[in-house]
Amino acid sequence: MIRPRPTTLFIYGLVITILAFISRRFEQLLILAVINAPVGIVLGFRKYSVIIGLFLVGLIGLFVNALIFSNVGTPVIEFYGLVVREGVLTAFINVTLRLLSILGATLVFVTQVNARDLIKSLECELGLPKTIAFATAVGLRMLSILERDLREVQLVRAERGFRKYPITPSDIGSFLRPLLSLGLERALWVGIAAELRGFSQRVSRRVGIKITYVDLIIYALLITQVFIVLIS
Amino acid sequence: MVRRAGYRLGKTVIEDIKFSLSEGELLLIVGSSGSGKTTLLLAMTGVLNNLLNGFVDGYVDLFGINPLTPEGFTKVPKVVGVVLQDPEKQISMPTPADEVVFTLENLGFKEVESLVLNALKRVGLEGKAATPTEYLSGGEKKRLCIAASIVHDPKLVIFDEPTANLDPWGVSEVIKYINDLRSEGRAVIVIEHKARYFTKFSDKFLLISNGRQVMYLEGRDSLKNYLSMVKSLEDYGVDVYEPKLVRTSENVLCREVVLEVRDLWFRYLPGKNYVLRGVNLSLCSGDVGVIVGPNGAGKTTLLKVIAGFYRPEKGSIRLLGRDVMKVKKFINGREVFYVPQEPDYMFIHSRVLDELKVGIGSLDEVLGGEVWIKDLLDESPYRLSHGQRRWLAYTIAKLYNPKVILFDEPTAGLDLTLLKRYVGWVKEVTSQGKTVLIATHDVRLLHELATRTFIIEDGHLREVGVVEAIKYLEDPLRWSDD
Amino acid sequence: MSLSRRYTALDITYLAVVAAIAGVIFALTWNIYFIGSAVGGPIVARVISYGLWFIGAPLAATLIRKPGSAFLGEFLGALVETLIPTYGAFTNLVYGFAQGLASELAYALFRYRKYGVSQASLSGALAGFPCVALDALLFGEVYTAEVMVFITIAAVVSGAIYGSIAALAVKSVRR
Repeated sequence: MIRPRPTTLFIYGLVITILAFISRRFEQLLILAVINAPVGIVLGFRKYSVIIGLFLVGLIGLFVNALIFSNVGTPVIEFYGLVVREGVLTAFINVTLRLLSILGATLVFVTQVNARDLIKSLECELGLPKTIAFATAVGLRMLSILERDLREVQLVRAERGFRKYPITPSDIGSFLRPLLSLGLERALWVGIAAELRGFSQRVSRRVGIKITYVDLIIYALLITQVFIVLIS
Repeated sequence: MVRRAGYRLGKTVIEDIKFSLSEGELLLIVGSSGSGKTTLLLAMTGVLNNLLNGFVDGYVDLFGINPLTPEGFTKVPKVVGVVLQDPEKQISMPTPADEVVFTLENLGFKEVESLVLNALKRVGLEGKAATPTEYLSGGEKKRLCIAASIVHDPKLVIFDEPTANLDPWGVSEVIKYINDLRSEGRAVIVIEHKARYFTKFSDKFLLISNGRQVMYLEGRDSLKNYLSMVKSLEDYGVDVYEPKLVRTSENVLCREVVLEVRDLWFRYLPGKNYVLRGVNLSLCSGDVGVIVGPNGAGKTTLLKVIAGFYRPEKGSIRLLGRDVMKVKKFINGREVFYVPQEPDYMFIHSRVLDELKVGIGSLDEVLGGEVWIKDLLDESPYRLSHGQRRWLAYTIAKLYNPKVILFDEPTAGLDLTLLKRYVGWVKEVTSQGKTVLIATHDVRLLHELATRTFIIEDGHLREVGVVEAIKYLEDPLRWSDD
Repeated sequence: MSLSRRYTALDITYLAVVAAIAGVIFALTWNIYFIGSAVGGPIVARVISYGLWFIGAPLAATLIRKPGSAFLGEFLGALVETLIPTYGAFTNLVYGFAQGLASELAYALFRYRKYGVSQASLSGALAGFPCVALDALLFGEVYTAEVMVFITIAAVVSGAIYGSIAALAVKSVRR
């Protein structure tokens, strides 16, 4: 099976997320979750098990919050004196379904697409303005250098007797300063180099949207879900 | 010719610079840090006034284009290729192929594949065309910048401090590339403070000091004359000396062994290659140990392991007889302090004054003879000049009163004046009984400071005499001697 | 920085660095979020981590000082975070878009003439509103109105604090 275009998955993920945000009814959410979550989890199980694990942990917290805040309606279970009413269950289930749909679409996207291909694809096919495309490409490149900077800063902080991880707002400030200082110096010269290499004359060439049958299937799936949500 | 130029109206940085260059000629521009060399580069390419809101008063002609006008500025990229000092501050794309293609796409080239492949082949990177940039070595990144700057066949190529950040092997590579470009008939400008690498190839020579043109020589013969003016050039902060193969620093009598490293084995991740293999090293109080080796040999890692940031797999590290690895909190600024290559990593506070408030002693004691810092106490450390930030970094290290101070490439990018200041600082600190260990590939430090010298290659360390280490660093550049 | 309102390559690379830093901060903030979440669910989690999520806008705007920079700083930071990828992925994009617009408003109110610490604080604070509104859509069934009000106040205050930290850091670093 051919890989779907990055743009397709991007649009898919984004639209599903928006749908999940606006759906309020159980039936809508159920459909979204059932279509998206299993696929996503299957695809993402190996590489992103951490994310899935964190999601489950988050659900626990969610349930606790539901117990505290939406414990209304007819009681359903009783547990050592703790009464769980139907309000808790409806709230919990709805939110969980919503989050599951988003998680599913996200995992599909994240396992199939890499950042660089996406940016190229967005620039050539969707006509993403060169400003945003370039900023994102440079941003991703800066990211890896930034991680190195962060590690070095942490080493020196440790030897000077300061915290390795920021906790207070002023900690954030003292981390921000060296990262900004070094990053901006780099940005200055990368920017000068880019201008001297003709960036201001760059015209993003729109190659037009390439669609394969896989993309069509995905778009069809997407449109179906949009309909279901909007109509029901 | 540039008559006057600067960053802000009213504040002139460079004045009265005049030169001309034809195809196939190499112009070498030298001067100390801060002399205005980089400003000149920005002025003559039109960046200063078009991009940075500076001003340029004068006349520049780049193959018929006037870069000072907005229209001219847009035409500059077609005829000029620029290689900046630090590849990390130039590469913007995630893979080498993308980086090279970027120039072509900007300029509207349509058939790009073969051009890209050829450019990459020329610098030996065609096998890594799709490797993410962060996995390239420093030397490879430099070559990538060169490829990206010539892929569009520019008539003029400008190099800003091309040997900065490179080890001697990288330097000799770059010199070769630059020479090739010149033989191809391109005009080449090289801006450097380490003049000695390029004097043999230059057709023209320009010395700048304090923003003014002090000397301008044309023709190979006059360059031979200049070599006799070595002493006076040093006054301008220009690095011209050839290292003499003679010992100049004295041996230190060992009063006590301060640092002893035995059979150190370390790797970052189990299963990967060892970065340090059976390293043995010992230093006495007052010693200045210098470790040299190519980039990637393990110099930085060794320093970091000694500093306690990482635990070695095998071996021992003893500070004044105590096995530090038995101590729970190994990272302890009191005994060993690591000063990173980039001074900005050192700073925590937003005012210089707060940075200096470490440990005991009055402020005047701390500042010593450095009067200039008194005006800057309220300033943010990040706004100081490069030399000032370095000074602040070493001072902070000293304030923690460690027995051993570790320096990682302390002189990268420093010109002669700042280098001398660093050397003086180290000498003072070791005369007070401290021990210093420096990882570097800068030959100048061997001469001035080393009492113990080590070579590290591929994780293996061996102690050598100073003369042998100097030879080791100079050999890669030997081919250019004729 | 060029004085016209057009974005030069320099502005864009500055934006890229801010997006990268913001992306890293956003990604790290998830750790704080999860610790809070395990302790007390989405409420506690968001209360202690909110302001950090709005930081892209004041950072970019104080630095670049042009219309649109606040929005782009926040949105591109969210885009970078999506591409890392982190837990939130697409939700981040939606939040980032909305928060960016709200933060941009703070600068628009001053007619894009001032880019000081107070403006940065305000932009951080304003981002709190769309953030909580989106939270309501995402988690609404679980929380009551009173809780939402409380969360909103926490978000706004947290945003203001980190907004000013961002501006101060930029001022401390710019040469």
